[in-house]
Amino acid sequence: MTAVIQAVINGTMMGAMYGLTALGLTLIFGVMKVVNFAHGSLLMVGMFTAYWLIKLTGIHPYLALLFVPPLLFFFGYSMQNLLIKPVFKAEQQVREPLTVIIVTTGVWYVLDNLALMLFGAEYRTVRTAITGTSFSLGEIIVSIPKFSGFLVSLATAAGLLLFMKKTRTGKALQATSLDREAANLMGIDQYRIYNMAFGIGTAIAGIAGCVIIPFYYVYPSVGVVFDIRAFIIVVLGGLGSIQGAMLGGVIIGLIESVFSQFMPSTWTEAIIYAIFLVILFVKPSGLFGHKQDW
Amino acid sequence: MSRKQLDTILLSLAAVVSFTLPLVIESPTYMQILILLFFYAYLTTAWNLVGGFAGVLPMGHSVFVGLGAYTSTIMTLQYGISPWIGMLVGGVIAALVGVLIGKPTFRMRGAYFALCTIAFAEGIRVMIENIDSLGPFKLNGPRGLLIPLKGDSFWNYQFMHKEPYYYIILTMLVLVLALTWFISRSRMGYYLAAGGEEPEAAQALGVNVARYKLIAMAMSCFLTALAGTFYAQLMLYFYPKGLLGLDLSFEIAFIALIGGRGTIAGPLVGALALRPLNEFTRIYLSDQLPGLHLVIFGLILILVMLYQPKGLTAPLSRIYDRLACRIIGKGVAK
Repeated sequence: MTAVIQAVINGTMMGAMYGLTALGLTLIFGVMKVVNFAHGSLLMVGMFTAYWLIKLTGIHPYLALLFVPPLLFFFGYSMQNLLIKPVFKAEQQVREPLTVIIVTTGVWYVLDNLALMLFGAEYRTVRTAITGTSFSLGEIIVSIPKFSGFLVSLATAAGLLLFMKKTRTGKALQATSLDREAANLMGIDQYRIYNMAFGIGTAIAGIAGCVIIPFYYVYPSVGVVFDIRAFIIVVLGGLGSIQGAMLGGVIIGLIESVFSQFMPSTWTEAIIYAIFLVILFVKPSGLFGHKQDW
Repeated sequence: MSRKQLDTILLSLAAVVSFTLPLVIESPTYMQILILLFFYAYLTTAWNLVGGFAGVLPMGHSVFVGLGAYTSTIMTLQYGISPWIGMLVGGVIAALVGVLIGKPTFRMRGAYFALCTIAFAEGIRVMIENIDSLGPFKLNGPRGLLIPLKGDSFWNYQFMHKEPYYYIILTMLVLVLALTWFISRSRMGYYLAAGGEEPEAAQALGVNVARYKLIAMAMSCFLTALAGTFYAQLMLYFYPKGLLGLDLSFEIAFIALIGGRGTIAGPLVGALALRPLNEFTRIYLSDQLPGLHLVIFGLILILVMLYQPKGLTAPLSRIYDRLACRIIGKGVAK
């Protein structure tokens, strides 16, 4: 029994972080109707930035949260502005520009392999003050890096929700996601909003990178591990939904950690894919998605 | 000389050149590069039936390559049946699976469809990696299957030299190109194009869009599986990660997009542009800087999408049109 409770707690914490990696993806999809295949790579960039920052300056890992997300915001903002906007403009009439998927896949290949060229293929870990620390609740052990990652994930999701509901930019983002043309007519600059969405989505990948680094390896293709999960999570939660991404993340985390108590972990991966396909067939709009999106 | 005559002359010239190439090329390495080039062009042409004409973006076609390879190889290894027969059985199985997958997924929008096919392919890969045998059939999990060398034999689909493989894949490519050409000019081609661009409008005009998409999917999967058997017999070894992984699926889609999806020449143009580059950068650069060849690959992908979002076939055919006009013009003047 303790093992199961332990698994549930670990799964929830890990799942919230999966949700965090999916948040940026779901935001970008919601606003632009684009699946950003480079999202995992951007997470990898965030992890490497955090890694070098911590390694070279020796600061506390969570101080990296002050530097990495703004840097990645700038990165994502420019990426959308320079690479994706032109393709988008060329395909203005298309409701769902598939060419953009290919551009983001190109970015994925470039980023992952640039990292491979620069840093090599080895798995790196950074030992920080909190690596390997934990506290216990009775017989249950809670890892401190994972617990703080869990808290940061919840805070980020809450922050993003507040931002979308309360600020002007957030409302403009929502308006664009509901109806591009109408938002344009209301004087919202569509491409500036896309830049913002991409920047924020990438910054969130940066936050995820910072909280994952104290307990996970970093290597050039680490993004792929989180990428496929993030795809599954956003579809499960409903593409474009913030709450959906968090809940979807927790569900996937729970399945992984509870099922792996009873079977080899490679099988849990197969189960996740199977569940994903069942959801797509039964309810393609996911838990919180809009029907018109699929 | 008319335009039609010029086209015919050039096409026959291309045919003669491609059928005599093995007489000139002696290096097995270059032969292998050519064989793989045609292999990818073939796969992409088969993909194009769905990804190009039907206007969706399947990103998991490697599953059908795998189905073909596994079916024919298991039949050969365990029952001694010729891969030529296994190839057809694999094709039929792939077509059935394709229809099974296509039926619920074709009603989805682009991004959902792409994600769904990825998840399906990855799910199958993970499953095959985790099982040693499926009922009486030995799959060998992540280790894959090894086909024992039996020596030159047409019946066993094994040859000691590269030439037979070259001619087999070339014939397959020519046939599939002819089929695509035929379909693009048929009622089905028009229905597919209409269903891809404006499904609601096509439906309103009484076109059964879903049915034509399913037929296209069945054909595409059948043809893709045939290539799987070819690959298995060429390499005599394959494993799930290499054959069923996302890399192959993505590369097929990229070749189509860079060449021009939905065009007949697109897959060939894309393969001609990407495959040699891929092979040579991998051979010459990957020792010094691992990953550089994929950086170049990604950059090309981005640049083509930025400057030629419709693929390279469109500008190339414009150039050809201009040249053809000049040549024909001279002919008339004489």
